[in-house]
Amino acid sequence: MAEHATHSHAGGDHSHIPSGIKLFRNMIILMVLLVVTWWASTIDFGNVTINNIIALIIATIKAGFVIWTFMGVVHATKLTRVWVATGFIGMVLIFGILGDYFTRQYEPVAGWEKGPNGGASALQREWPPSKPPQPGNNNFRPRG
Amino acid sequence: MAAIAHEGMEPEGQAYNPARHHEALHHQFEDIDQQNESYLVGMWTFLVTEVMFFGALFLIYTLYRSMYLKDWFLAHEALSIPMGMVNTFVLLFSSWTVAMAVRAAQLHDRKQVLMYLSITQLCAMAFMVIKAFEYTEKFNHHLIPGPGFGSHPEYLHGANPNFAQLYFGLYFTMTGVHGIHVLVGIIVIAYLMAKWIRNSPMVTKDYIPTEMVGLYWHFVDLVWIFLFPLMYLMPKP
Repeated sequence: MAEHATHSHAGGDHSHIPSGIKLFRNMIILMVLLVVTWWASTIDFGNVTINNIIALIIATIKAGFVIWTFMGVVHATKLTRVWVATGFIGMVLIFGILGDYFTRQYEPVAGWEKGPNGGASALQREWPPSKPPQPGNNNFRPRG
Repeated sequence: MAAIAHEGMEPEGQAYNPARHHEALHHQFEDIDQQNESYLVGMWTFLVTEVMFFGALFLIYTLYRSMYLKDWFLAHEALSIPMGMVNTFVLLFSSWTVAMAVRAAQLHDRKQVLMYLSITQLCAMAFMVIKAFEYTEKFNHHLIPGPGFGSHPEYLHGANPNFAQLYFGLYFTMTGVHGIHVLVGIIVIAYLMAKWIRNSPMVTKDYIPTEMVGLYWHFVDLVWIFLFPLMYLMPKP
């Protein structure tokens, strides 16, 4: 087994062949990070948000190792990298939708006040409904 | 403008380039590197749609968890962290075996490809078996959303049944969709292995089909990397 990275010139293509040691090292790093994920979850940082941020940072680092080395993005062409980046940037942008939900408590709409459980959205409606479904109504959950 | 390459021909004034004469090269591509890049971009385009799909589910998770922080923490205590840990270990390990299989395919080492793909299959099946144990336990504890949910309140750990139902609804949706992806992975890897066993030129002459399956499998692993801390390792609010 070749220990160092090579290029498969024999077949005419210029694809990069990763070294076996590098892949093994990547797997060990991922396993260590898995233990770190669990260990970090047992520590009380004094604030849930800090715990969540730390857990997500570790998960993102793990994902980075998988994408970069296992998925071969490290040796991919620029065009491929653009596609990879597009997907993950797009996913982050989706979370902008939360801006709507988290600001509803500031909207002067009945039923969107900040609820007893923290957030404010249409989800704070009365449940279970006190009235049976009405004909001609859209029968969504009534606002509490 | 580069001249269009034809089989056995080089553009005027250019030296012989083996990349233009690769056995796996299809006629619409100029050389094997361009063909490989097209395949990779196509696969990543599919993976981007998958990222968006799971992204929407993670968005729903973020919204509801922020609203019902305490109840979701109590509800999540029904999950088994050791089982989640073992499953994460199994998937991370299988990601390595797939990466090694792709490497072996690049080196045209059929024996190693089959060995690493077999280990990957075993890992995938182990993951599904562990998940089946987890699902069965939730089923027995009446933690499946729907009528009868929470009829054994001791398994809710004091959580509000409505918010706990929301948690388990999302838990089963996200891990269920992920599980379907694992099942599809098992089928696709089995198909790939059959091709390798039969010495099909589709895989022996071109490492890209193995690479495509590998990329898909790594993606399945990626989703779980985020699912594990979010579903199993919630901090106490």
